Amino acid sequence: MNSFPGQITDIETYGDMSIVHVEVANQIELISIVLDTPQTVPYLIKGNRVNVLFKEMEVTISTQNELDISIENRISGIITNIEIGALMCRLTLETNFGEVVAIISSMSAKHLGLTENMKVKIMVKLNEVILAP
Amino acid sequence: MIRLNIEKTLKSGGGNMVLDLELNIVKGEFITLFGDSGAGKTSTLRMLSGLLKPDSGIITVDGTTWFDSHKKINLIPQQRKVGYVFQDYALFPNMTVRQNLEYALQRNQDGDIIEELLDLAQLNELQQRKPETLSGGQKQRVALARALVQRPDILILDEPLSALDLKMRIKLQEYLLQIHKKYKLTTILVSHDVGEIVKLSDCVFELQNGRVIKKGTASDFFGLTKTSAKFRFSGEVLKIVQEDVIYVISVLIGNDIIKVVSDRREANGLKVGDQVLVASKAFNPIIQKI
Repeated sequence: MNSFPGQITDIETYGDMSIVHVEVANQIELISIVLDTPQTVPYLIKGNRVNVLFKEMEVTISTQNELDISIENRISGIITNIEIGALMCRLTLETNFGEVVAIISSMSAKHLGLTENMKVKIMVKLNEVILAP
Repeated sequence: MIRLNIEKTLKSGGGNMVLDLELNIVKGEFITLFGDSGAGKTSTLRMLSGLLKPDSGIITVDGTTWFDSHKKINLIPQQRKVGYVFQDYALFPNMTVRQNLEYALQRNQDGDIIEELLDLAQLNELQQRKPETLSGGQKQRVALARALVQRPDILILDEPLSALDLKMRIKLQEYLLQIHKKYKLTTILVSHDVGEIVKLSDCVFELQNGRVIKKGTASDFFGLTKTSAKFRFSGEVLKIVQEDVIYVISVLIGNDIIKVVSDRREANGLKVGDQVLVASKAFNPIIQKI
């Protein structure tokens, strides 16, 4: 699991749901949608510290910098290690807020021509991001 | 309300330990004492049941004083309405199941309770058997039934299920909950099994070196509510298998075995038998009518 400490910078609530912005490094925000509101859980307050969690398997990798795609979280990273398995591939990526591990198919890794030291976009849909106070 | 405010110096292999406890237990709750071996859990239960005398302090149950060192009050175990179940069953080997229960009857007590408990514990067919012919789960059902003969208000369960296999443990957990509700008991459990504790208890007290160091509802206590993930369960790791660059971890949740794909960063920190939290966002699972 990828886990990064951050600080809540914005909360948008509608009904029982909230979209929460968490700054994990200077100018870098991760966004999560949760079935909680500031009324249901005490930790949802601007300025509060939370951990942002997402699974390795939920990470999408793109070699293109700008992509028209409905994935809200996009962070730049550099591939520091690749382990290609028979079906799946494990990438270690360096970002401004720490090391991210991504597990994608070996098929995609080959198709994209991923190599070490390559600069890529790391993307995660907002409904895959868990907050842990 | 059960109020314990007691002190007792305990001698152990590693020297003396001072048990200095303040415990307030709400009537009708199912609570768990949690903590390392030697933290004072069993001694606390023995003092509540009258098997061990505190050096000083007070124990009151619903306003009645069971122990008061100043007033020199110390009710004998038979005067305290406590049922006690031990890990090793502590059945009389020379008596049948029925005799084990009957032995617990108080003088002049109506014997109807025996039939009721044999029924409830599904021991009717086993009532003429001796303990040595019973399985671990059956023995523990007898021990539980025996603890209820005197219609206690408080049921103490000192690691009652830890010697049993998983399947039997799950079955008896259901049974414990059923008894707790049916007889409106205040139940105090000692257990190390997180899944069991979360399933059974309303409240958990953690003991360390004779003191309560933490208290909370079971799910808060183990941090299960401390993520925004809504699809969450606790379970026990059954198997960890490396597949390619990932790990597949089989987890027993209730009666179901589920599989979780994991990275080695988590898998390396886990071993078979570990209690784990499995969580996912409410957005991930699919749901279908069957």
